[in-house]
This record gives sequence, structure tokens and C-alpha cells, in this order.
Amino acid sequence: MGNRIEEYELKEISVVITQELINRYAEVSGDHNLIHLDPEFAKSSMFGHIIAHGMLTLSLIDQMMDRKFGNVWHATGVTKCKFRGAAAINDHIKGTGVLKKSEELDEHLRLIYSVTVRNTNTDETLIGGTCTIDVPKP
Amino acid sequence: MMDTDYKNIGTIEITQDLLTEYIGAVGANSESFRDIVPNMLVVSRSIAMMLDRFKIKDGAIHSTQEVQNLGTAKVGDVVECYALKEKTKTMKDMEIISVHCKFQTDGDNIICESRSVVMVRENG
Repeated sequence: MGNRIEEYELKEISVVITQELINRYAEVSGDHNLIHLDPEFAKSSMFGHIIAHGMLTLSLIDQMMDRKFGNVWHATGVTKCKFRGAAAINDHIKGTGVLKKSEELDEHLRLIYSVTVRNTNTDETLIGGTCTIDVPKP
Repeated sequence: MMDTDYKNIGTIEITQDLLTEYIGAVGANSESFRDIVPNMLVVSRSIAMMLDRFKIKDGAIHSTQEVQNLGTAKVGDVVECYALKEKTKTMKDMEIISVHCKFQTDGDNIICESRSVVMVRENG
């Protein structure tokens, strides 16, 4: 794709997970699962501590695609991700994406990104997957 | 017309307050979601509806998420959430629950489809 690769580069995005952020997300999503909110309950979980909602973590990828492609992302984008780990309070998490493949369609270019969310404190991959978007041909 | 296998599990009223709260709750700054209601907002709400509707226990762990964007809702829209739960599978002591959702605004306009997989310990 020559120089066009740079045109489709994604800018990484990051956030620090706090209990306040988790609480706000619980309110807005309606997901009050105790594993996100109750330290005593969370101790007995497989993680042993409070974890952020998976969808809160995944939102980094959605924001990254939104910032690059705006409305086109929200009209044609497809996200397929697996949660491989969970973010804890005070974790700094970062979403990144790399263009892996492009396909010429009749009127569009289909771009397929490999996307991840990593915990920069531990270097653990929390989310891995792909985002696919059809953009107008240049 | 919605597939009859899908059951309505709730509605989401898209308000400016809800959108503002969502943007704050995911740590987004002013570069994100300008004049857009992200479908991740309605998918996020559907997870809670799904946990409630299918009586999925506290401690459920999100395993997989797929989202296909087909359009967007606007502030003022009411989004209907329809869900189809697959037969629960079991692996070791974990139940694996997979739910497909479709999100529809007025006029049979499907804005998004999703598939969520959660895992929960069989014995709590």
C-alpha cells in the first residue's frame, strides 16, 4: 500500500483505571457486578481483587477507531476481541492497533487491524483481537 | 422485522446526559465521540440487561465481545435491545454463556449487532 499505510495509522490511547472510573462506568452501564465494586467479594474471585469492567477496557479500542475514522467507524466497523486478562485499580492501560491487511472492494477499501489493550504496569495483554472497517477508496 | 427467536430484554433512552456520563466513565477526552452516540454505549448497557434477564451470577467474567456497527442512534432515540441466548456450555467448573444481541431504533432500523460471551463458576 506504499505511503497509504501512514494514512491509516492509529494513535494509541491510554487511561489509568481508578475505582472512581469503575464506579462511574457501573452507573452508566447498569453493570453492578460485585467483582467490580465490592473488595470483599472480589477477594474470592479468580483475580483476588477488584477488576475493571471488560467493556470499559474495550472502550479504548472503540475510542481509537472513532478518533481515526469518526462516523465511518460507527457505520461499518466490526470489533472481534477476546479478554485475556483484567485491569486492576491503578493499572495504566494502553490501546494500540496495527494495520494488518487491506482488501480492495468495489467502492471501498477494507482495512483489518490487529488491536490490543495492554497493562503497561505488568506488560500483560488484556484484550486482543481485530477491528475491520470499510473506508471510501482514496 | 426482528427475528422472533430474539427476545426484547429492555430499552435504552439515549439522552445527552447518558452520553455525557458514558464519555466521562470511559475516560474519553474531547477528541472522542464528537456528535456521535457510540454503539459501545448501548452494548455496555445490554451486558447489564443480559446479566439480569438471564440471571447470570455475580462474578461473571467477560470472555469475548464482538460488535458489528451498522449505524448509530441519536440523542432522543429509544433503542430496543433484543437478545438470543445460546445453550449454556460447561468447561471444568465454568459455565460459558453466549448471547447475541440486536439493537433497533424506531422504524426497524438495526444500528448494531453484538455477541457477548461470559464465564461464571457453576457453584458461585
